Amino acid sequence: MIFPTLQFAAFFVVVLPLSWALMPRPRLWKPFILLASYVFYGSADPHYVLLLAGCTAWNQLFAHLIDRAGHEGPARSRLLAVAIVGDLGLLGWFKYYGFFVTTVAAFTSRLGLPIPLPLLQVALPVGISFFTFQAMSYVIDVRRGACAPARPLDFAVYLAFFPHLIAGPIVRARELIPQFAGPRDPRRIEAARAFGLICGGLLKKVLFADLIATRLVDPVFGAPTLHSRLDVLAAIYGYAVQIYCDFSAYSDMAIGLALLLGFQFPANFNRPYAAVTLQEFWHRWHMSLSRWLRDYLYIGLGGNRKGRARTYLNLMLTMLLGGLWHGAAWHFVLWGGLHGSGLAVERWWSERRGQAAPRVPWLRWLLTFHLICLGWVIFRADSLGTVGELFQRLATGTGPATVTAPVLLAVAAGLALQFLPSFPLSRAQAIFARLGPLPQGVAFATVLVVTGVLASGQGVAPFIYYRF
Amino acid sequence: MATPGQPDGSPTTSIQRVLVTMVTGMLLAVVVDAGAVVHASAGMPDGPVRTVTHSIGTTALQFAEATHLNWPSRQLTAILGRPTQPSTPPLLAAANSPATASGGTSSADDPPPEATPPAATDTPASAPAATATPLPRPSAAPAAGTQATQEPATPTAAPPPPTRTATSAPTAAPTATAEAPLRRPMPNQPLRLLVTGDSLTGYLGPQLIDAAASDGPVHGVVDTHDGTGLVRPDFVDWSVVAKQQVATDKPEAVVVMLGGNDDQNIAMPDGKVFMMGSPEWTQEYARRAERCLRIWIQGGARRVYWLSVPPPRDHTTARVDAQINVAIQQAAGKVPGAEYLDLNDSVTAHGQYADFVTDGRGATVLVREPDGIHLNIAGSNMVAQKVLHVIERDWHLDGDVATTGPSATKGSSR
Repeated sequence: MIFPTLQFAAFFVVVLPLSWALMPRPRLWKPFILLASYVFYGSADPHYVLLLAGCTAWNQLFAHLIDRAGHEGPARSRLLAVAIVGDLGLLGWFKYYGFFVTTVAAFTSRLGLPIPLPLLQVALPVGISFFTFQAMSYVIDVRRGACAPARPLDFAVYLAFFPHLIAGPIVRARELIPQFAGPRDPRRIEAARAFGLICGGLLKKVLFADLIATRLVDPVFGAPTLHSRLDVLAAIYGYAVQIYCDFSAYSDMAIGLALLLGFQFPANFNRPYAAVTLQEFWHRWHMSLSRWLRDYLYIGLGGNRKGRARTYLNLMLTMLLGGLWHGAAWHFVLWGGLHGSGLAVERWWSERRGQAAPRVPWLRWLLTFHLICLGWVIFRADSLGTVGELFQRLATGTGPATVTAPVLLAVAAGLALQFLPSFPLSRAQAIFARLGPLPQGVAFATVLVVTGVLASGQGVAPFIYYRF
Repeated sequence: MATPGQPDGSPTTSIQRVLVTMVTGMLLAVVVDAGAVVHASAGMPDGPVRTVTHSIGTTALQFAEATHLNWPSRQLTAILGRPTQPSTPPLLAAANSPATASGGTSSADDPPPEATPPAATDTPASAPAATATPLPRPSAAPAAGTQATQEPATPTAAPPPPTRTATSAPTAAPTATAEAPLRRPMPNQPLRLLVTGDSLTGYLGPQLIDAAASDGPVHGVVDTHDGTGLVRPDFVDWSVVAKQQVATDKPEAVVVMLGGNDDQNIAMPDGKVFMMGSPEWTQEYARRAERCLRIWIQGGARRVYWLSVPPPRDHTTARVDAQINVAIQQAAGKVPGAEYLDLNDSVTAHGQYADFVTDGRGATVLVREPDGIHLNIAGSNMVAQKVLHVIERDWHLDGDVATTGPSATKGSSR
């Protein structure tokens, strides 16, 4: 079940009033919202509900064991290690087994030592990368003493809460579980912000992401040798806009839905292509993942406390694993490696030149943006061969361009979104908030109808991060 | 960012007002765009959800038409040039009892059964401008029949011998009947190749036109309509899609891969329901396939290559898909210029589902997506190479790299 569908609309219109009706009675509300979340998750494949419940039980068990181990550091660390091995084992089996087997088989075959490994195709449960990372952050926080073990039902609701379950944001236990402590105030719902995020997300998804994908990016990346250099160039910029509008649309809708239910999620995007350095980009792009990688991987590896060489190594390892988190394929690893290298070079450069402001800021922005676009080409392409074909066509591709003016306009407008000041949005929200509920409903219906008609030619495509 | 758990100072309101806003917005949207709700219900698997959605949609549509509340949606649809589905799908309107529909001549609107394929021409057959609407793939589910006529049959019926079936080393003459020879594509007049179907063509389409264009002058078009098939013309009617394709793309060669969503019962206009896999179901499926084939052929296509549906992991669906292949083979056998291409020798293990197969170099290759239905990139590439051999055989692509005719992708081809 994805958000912009009739099925989800029907689901939410039932869940929202029931949730608020039961909110004053936490003993009823928590089982209800857990059940609703499991129904939401099980709509794709009911079997995976057991997986989610199993992951919940495993991590809750070890959180309690770690807590009961008291101040015995080694015991707590051993218990944490077992919990993490279990989580990574789950992720490894479902997400990386096929990649591992085929890679090893190809390698040993080249050496002339074919090793027969069991060839299994393991289906990837939706959202496993997200809920596994959330579960790991919880047990690590308990080990670090950053939070106490939650009640089992609270932790189950935290892990399964449907607005963030499929594709984030990756919410920390200590951010969400305290919000379950008491009933939310039904008189203080940030409705204008919530409807703004939901409507904005719908428009970004349908008006930009899906349009650019079907009319430009998919054809060019699918058959690069048949396209001119203008098409290839437009598709490279187009994919940058597409992936931003697609993923941030999902995050916006998730945050908006949570607000309507009375809960706050952390922001996940903040105009990432306005960044003038890669480091700044990662402070603005998929911020909940960046925080996770920083707090639980980079710092866990030693961060910058173990010397310069180790700092660079930690940066590179963090980004390589961050790339692998996105998918079991070498091009994701390469994408992570590109960002890791870029971050390392930036660090080396800033250490050498100090914190002085760049002499030509726009040049630095231009360089950063194109490095990000290069990364997206590697991220999106099916293979390294396709990457080579794309850049070959970029240099030599003659012939007529097929990209149309409306699509180019969508790409330009999508990029321009990055540089718009925030006050028009806050002003629009303030105006919306002053309207009565009926005019608000008319405004909401207008967005629904417009996006429905826009999507009628192609439907709403699955979100890119849905598969991660 | 606001501190989690605390509103960040933006305006707040009560849940009562939120519910009024949301319900008002949704009800208004359902009424104003009721046609979309009805259409979406047509794409759902049969069951209570579909029934309820359809009832709500049709009631809202009647109300909207009586009050003209759907005027904004219709105007916006027209302004944006969005396609609309005909109220009576031609595939259904042309339906007759399968016993008399053999040969695809069930109505006056059907193309004649023995039409001679036209010579290559740029002039397509006259076709309505209407087109189908691709929407997300509905999950396949058996229809809740009102008059089930047959229980599912074991798909063992032997198909009639096809006119032409590709083999791994095709050398036979392409058709049994006399026809004008196919032209040799030239750089200034490339072969107009259309790859179309449901989501099974998602990876295949771009890979095939990319590979074909590397072999010779080819102008490729991929037209993928996710979540569609021949069983549910009330959702998307492939005869309408085919007519629009010949009108806009003027294909000379068409590659079709369709059937991934067709493991459903067929509901006929007279209320009869053919259980999936039954002989009547297979016959009706073949009639629909034949009708589409004739539209492409009479619209100017000299060759239509209809690929078999590779068996999926699920055994029940695999049995239905075997019947789909029987039906396609039957239909292709009746239409000169049509060819059924059996993929069993490339992406299956002796006709059975397999995640991994051995390629021509002896390497073990993963060929399926985790869903156990779709081909992955490697599997699609193997199919593309097989189809390319057949296209090269028929069209004598001579190795000139296409310099004209960039490709295009339509529909939802993700």
